[in-house]
Amino acid sequence: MACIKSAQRAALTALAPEAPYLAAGTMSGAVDMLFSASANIEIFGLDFQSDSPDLPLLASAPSADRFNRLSWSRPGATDGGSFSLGLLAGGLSDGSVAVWNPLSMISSEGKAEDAMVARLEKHTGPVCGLEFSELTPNRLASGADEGELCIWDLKNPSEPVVFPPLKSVGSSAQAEISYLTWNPKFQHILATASSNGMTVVWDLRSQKPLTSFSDSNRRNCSVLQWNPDLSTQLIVASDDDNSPSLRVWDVRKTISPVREFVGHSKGVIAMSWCPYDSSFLLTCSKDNRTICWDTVSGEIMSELPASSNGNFDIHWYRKIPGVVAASSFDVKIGLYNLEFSGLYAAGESAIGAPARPRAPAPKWLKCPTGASFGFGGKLVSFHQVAPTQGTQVATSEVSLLGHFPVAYCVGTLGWNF
Amino acid sequence: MNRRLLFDCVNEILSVRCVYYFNAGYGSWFLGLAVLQKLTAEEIYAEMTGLKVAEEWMVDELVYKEMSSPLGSWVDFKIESYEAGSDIATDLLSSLLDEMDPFAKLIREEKKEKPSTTQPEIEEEEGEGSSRGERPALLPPPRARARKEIELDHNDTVHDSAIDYYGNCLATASSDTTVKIINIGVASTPSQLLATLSGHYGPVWRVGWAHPKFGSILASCGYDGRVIVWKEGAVGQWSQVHVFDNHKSSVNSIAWAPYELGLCLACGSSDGSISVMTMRPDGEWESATIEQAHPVGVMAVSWAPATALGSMVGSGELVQKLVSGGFDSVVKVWTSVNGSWKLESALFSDMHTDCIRDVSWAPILGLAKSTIASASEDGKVVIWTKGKEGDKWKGNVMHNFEAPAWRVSWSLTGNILSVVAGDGDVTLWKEASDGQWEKVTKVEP
Repeated sequence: MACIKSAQRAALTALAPEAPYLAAGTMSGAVDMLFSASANIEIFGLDFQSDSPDLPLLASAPSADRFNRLSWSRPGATDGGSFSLGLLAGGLSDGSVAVWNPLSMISSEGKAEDAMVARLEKHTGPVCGLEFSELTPNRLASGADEGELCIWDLKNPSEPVVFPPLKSVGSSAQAEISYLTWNPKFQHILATASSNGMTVVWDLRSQKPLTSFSDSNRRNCSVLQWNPDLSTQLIVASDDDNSPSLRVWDVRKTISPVREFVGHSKGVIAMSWCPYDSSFLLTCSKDNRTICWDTVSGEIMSELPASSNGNFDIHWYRKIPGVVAASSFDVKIGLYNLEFSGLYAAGESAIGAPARPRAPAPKWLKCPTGASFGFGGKLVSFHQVAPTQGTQVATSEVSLLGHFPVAYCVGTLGWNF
Repeated sequence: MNRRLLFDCVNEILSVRCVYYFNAGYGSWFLGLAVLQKLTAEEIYAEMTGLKVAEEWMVDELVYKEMSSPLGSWVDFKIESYEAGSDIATDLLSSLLDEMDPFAKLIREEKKEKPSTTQPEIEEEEGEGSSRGERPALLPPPRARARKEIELDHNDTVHDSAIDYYGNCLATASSDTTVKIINIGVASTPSQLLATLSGHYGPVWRVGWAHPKFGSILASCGYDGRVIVWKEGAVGQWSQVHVFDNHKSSVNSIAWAPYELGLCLACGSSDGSISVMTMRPDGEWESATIEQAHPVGVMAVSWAPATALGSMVGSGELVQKLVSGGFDSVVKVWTSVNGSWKLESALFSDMHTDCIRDVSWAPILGLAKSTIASASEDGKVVIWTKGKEGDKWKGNVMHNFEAPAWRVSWSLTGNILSVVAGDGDVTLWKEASDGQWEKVTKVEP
């Protein structure tokens, strides 16, 4: 599995949801050879039609401070055609959230200073929790020190509206928020993870936490992700080196986790659940491994090529299934094609027994329907039939249609006159 | 008495010589008259003496002489062969006419069907036909007349189906890791499962039949990265001839080359490369690989017809070209130059914005252009055409189906394209005289 394209940056990435662009913001805490303190936000073009291994830089803008989180909203966040690519927001180390307009960044290439449309200053510490809502693209959630969660409405970016900040108190109090993410199906539900091990699920309609949980050890949680298909399930990762864990919780039952994925030897710092096929989950860890898990069986499906330094950010590219963007401590942003090689269970099967593939095939390779012609004007077609009661698996119907004489269609065209 | 004998002899001679002329119409009769006039007395005398000598002949010589005529002796069967030939000619003519005129054939079939009512597969269509007021009342609507559901035993979804060259067997590939071979030969009898082939460790994505001149050979490819070539020994007994596992990840598509290029198979894989396997005369396979054809994964491959455009059959120059479509929304055409494969052209366009799911090169119809159809996840099917060598490929969106277009397949004569989109809607398309493509019919699922 080779790196298809790359750019030399030590930066966090965000992929545009519906356009072929990648945004990169200089990562806070990254030190390069020149000890430079500059920070900028750049946009690269993703053109898989070309063979060039480099990502072309389309736009660049300076930033006040380095980034802790980056998020790209869907188009439709704001009114007006000048925001047709959505909004790009970055959580900076100085406590502010800077919002850019990617379309004006790309189109103007020079007047980049004009591209920053808003600077949201509300937090005190580095903003590590930041995400645009997919379902209501004008809503941005940000979280920083002392468990403070702010919801911004960016319908009119020059005049952002902020809702009163939310803070959980008492037993469910959070220290600084390390990650937050919106529920993919319910637009008023949000989950935040914190460095004190507490995870809170918020209901924004009632402005109160819906539920909160932590595991018994109160480990430092670094990332959390909702299951794209099952809206009550989420996975929380810990970056504690002594007990790195990936635990799947169901919010209906917060006494104990549903399951745990074991495989990393050091803390997990980044994670992404595949949005178009919920059986795949990618995690990056301090043990320099980036693993793709099969969430159904809990086994390791595949890994990105090992490097001397691990990855700290990972995202699935929605436009082409199987492509992921990973930022590495090697000062590299790479785009990889996850081929799911290494299918066979290593060494466990007896000699002569056929090796079994580890997991079912990804949804995007499955073709559910088709038709083909045969000799004599016969056409065979098949399509999927939904699973009947009692069976888990869908089956298919195949039908044979004949007989289409060769000059059939000359006749039908004649009738139309 | 003598006069009576003479009279009989002359009669006999005349009938032998001239009956041919007088039985067949005016022209011959005229000729016959001319012959008669030329007939002289000497000839008649010679015939009579000949007849007298015939007393001493053997029976079969007599029979032979009797049965001969100016047309040739009866053992040559010339007349019989002439009659048989004219029967064949009438049959050929009527079948050609049937194809030209489906209406007449259907009327005849309906007349035959009326007495028998036990044909469950034939759909009732008279109702629909009569509701279309603007059409003449008798013409049937353009839909398939016979459809048949095939009983399958697959435990999981089917991903591909292919009919063999004779139209007798159907191969289906499924997620349950097997390939099934089913006999579909006769329309009225139910289909029969002939064999189940297991050998893949994961879902099987595609199957393809090789040309029958190589025997009964089938290839299958699957998620496990293997391509297996199967051969039928005795009827229903299939065995693996060869297994290719040089691909490290899922092989998404296979296509057999035209038979003129030998037994040759192209495979496209998720690891981004296309491999072309050719069987050498000694039974071993050699492979050539096109690396990084589509780095994000190859979804479909298809071969060009082996004869060049506009060339006469057997002119020697064989075309070795391949078209591939990948997840990067690009369609690429590859050509083989001195044994190695090179990119001939990459058909970029703004038309396809999402992964290409299927490509298919149309069989040559004698038209002066090469045609490729490509179907993509964004719902569009694009038809690419190229005139002669050296021209650029031009693409036109044939139709936007608003739902992922999964497969395209050309009919064997190349003029009808079937497209499957969405949840299984099969539609047939044909090019009209102005270059636009129009829907011929939608096949009801």
